[in-house]
Amino acid sequence: MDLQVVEEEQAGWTVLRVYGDVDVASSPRLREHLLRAITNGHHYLILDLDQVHFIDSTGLGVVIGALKRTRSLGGDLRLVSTRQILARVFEITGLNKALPIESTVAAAVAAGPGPG
Amino acid sequence: MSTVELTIPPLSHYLALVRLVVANAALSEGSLSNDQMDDLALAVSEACANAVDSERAHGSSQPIRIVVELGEHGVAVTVTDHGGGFVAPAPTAPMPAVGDPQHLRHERGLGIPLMRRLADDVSFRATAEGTAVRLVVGIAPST
Repeated sequence: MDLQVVEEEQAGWTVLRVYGDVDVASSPRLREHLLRAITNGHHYLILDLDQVHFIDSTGLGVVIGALKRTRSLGGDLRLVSTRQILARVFEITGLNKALPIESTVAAAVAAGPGPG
Repeated sequence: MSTVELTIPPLSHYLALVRLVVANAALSEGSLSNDQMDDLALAVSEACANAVDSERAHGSSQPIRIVVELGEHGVAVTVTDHGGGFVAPAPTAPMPAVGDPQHLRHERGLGIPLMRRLADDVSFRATAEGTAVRLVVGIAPST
């Protein structure tokens, strides 16, 4: 399935809901979406990957890159997914220590101080 | 043991097709759990992405060959490219420390460490024109 990103605002956060596989072919498009949001002044991002059935190491790289950029601008990035494979890959890479995975967008908003 | 073979052009947009074929082949034999199928799909996709990269770096447009061996208690997938070969990091090489919030610099280079952790066995073999990577999830089918 082709990668699609739907954007919406919630409690001051910009939620990017992603549909489709994030792999080496499609991750540049996800990176573009994230960079565009950040460039447009959205520094508090929630990346909802719950509808992403597959993400590879390049997709993880895009997530890491966006996390670094938002934090360097005083913002933050939070991640939403209930998929086992993502939790396992985050554990394997140690990425869970830098970026916990929340189960819902509401939980991501509530996970800590936001733009408020 | 059943075998499924597939060749793809060395282009990254064919990786979704490889994942579909490998997952469905494994499913048809019923020898892997859902978690194992996810592990296999990711490991194979990483191997194929590396193969595509190697061929591009080598200026090759030769097909990449994927052979899926379906056993009773596991699946082995061999990905063979014509990318001129490369040296895999040692199996003992530590996972890059992406988890350290101060050192989130590993936007690349996670592919091979991931393969090593997701598959139960990984071996790299130099061929005349490139590299063959064999990934096993579960118990390797006996040949």
